Formats: sequence, C-alpha cells, structure tokens
Amino acid sequence: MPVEVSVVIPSIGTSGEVRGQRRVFVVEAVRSVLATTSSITREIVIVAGRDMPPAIADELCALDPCVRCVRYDAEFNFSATVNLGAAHATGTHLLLLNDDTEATTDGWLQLMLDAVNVPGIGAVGARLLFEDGTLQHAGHTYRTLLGHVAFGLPGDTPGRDGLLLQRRSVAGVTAACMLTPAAVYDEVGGFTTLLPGNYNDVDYCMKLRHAGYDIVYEPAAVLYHFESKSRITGIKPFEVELIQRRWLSKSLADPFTPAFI
Amino acid sequence: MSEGVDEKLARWAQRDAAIGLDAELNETRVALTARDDEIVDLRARNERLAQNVSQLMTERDALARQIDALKAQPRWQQISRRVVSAGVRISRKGS
Repeated sequence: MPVEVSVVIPSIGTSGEVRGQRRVFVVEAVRSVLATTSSITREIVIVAGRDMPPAIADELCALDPCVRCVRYDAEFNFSATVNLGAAHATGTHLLLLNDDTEATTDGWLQLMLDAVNVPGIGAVGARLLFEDGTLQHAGHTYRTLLGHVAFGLPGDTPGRDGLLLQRRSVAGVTAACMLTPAAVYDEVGGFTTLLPGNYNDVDYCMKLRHAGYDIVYEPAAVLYHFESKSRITGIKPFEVELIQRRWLSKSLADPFTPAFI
Repeated sequence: MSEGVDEKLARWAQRDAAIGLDAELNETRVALTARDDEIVDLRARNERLAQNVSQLMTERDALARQIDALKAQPRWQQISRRVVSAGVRISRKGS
C-alpha cells in the first residue's frame, strides 16, 4: 500500500519536562503520532542529529515498523535536516513536525490531508498550543514583523467573526507542523539551506505563493508544541537580510493578516 | 533509474537557488520602480518649489523698489504731510 504521509521529524533526542514529567520529546511525539493516525498509511522518518544518543534512536525504531532513522552528521542546519528526511521519504505528502510536539486527539492528520488535497493548496498548518493551552501558532503574519497570528492568546480565541476558528488562507504556516504535498516540495526545491535556523518556513511559504499555491491554516487540527513561550529566537542579521532580499515587498503585501491583529 | 538522495538534494539546492535569484530580481525591480517613482515625485515638487521661489523673488523685488521709492521722497513733503495732519486734529477739537 503506498505511503500517504511521511512524517519527517528532525531531532537530537532532547529531554524536558512536560506536565511535571520528564520526557524525551521525540519519543513522546512519535508515540502520539502513532496513537492518533492509525487510519492513515504513514511512515515516520526521524532525522537523527549527531548528538542523538544511539539508545534513543534504537527506542524510536522499536516503537513501530513504520519508524526509521536517518543519520545527519553535519553542522546544525534545520533546513538541511528537513530536506534529508524529505529526500528519504516515500509518501505522497510530507508532514514536517518538530520533535517537541504532541498530538492528543484522533483525526488531526486527516483534517490536514483534507485541507491540502484541495487543488492549488501548497501547505497546511495546524493550531499549535503551548503546554498551558495558549496559542503558539494560528498562522503566520508577515505584514510588519514576521511572526505568529494571535500569539499567546487563549487557545480557543475566536478572533473577530470567529475567524481564528475557521479554515482560512494565511500568509504562511510554521514548519513545526506543516503538511505539504511531496510533489510541491520537490517543485520548489524544498527548504533553503541558506537559512539554517530562522525563517526557513517563511521562505518556503513565500516560494509556494510565488509558484501560485495557497497556504491554509486548519484550526480543527490541534497539537501541543512544547516550545518555551519565552524562547529567544536568536534571529541573525543575515537571516533578516536574506528574507528581505527575496520577499520584502511580497511579505509587506500580506493580504491574509486579519484586521484585528 | 531512480534518483538517489544526494542527487535529489543537489537538484533541490539548484532549484532553490534559481527561485531565490528570481525572487531577488523581482524585489530589485520593485525597489527600482519605487526609486523611479520617488524621483518623478521629487522632480515635480522641485519644479513647484522653483516656481514658488521665482514668484517670491518677483514680489520681493517689488517690495524693495517700494522701500527705495519711499526713502527717496523729499523731506519737505514729509513735514508738510505732518503739519496738515496736526491741523486736522486741532480743527476737530475746536468744533
């Protein structure tokens, strides 16, 4: 049976505390995906950075036959790790997923598939919540600063006219959880390795829009993203310069940021 | 023959570079057009300002000529004008 979704998760096996319990993020992320997507033919490709302990890689591969690890031994470059996983993937769709995420309800991946299988859609993002239930991601906004719509508001914030609770076109979505057709990924050359840390997802979404695709936010697909709310992104001048050199006028013309932001 | 991982990554890198170059070209064209528009706007404003300066220079010259003319009036004309004015004031008080 052909693989419908390849879940690509870059990781170095980082541990942290969630709901008072210590966990290896990637292990719990994979467990949660396996537990909530059994109705879909999928494979999980872990791109294991050189710092990942072999025991964690072994544990991951033992979780399910559909899980496999690909080694990435070069310097950190998020885009390169995602590209490596995508190059090894066999599915018709790629789900790019951060290792510090957790899916808790069935149906989220099918909702994302339904959204991305509409002609002309290049990528779909999910509603991502911090551990405390507030919004980490409800679509990108590029109108002024490059950032997240409604960041830090309560997770069920409806927005004006319930806009944040509707499937809607957005300027872009985060690579922390992004579903994109493999053929589209191939068409635009994947993620740019010129942006190893920040804005690679912004660049990917701009490439999609440049190629004529729309990007959609699906709020009914909900996952947790345990990124720290106070995370310092460490954006570097060259990252800002590159993204502006490529997309400044198009990003300022973001037509999708709601007026209430 | 199916494409290997390294070949695929190399092809993606080339494709990304081509898209990036095209995007930068577009952005540079947008910036160039913005500069052209700004130059046209500034030239129009510059022309209006030059017209304003020209008008003010004409008015200024007229005012300067008026000052010169006033300064050139004979002294007795100024005195007689004062005498006449004083006479008018006295006759008003008397009536």
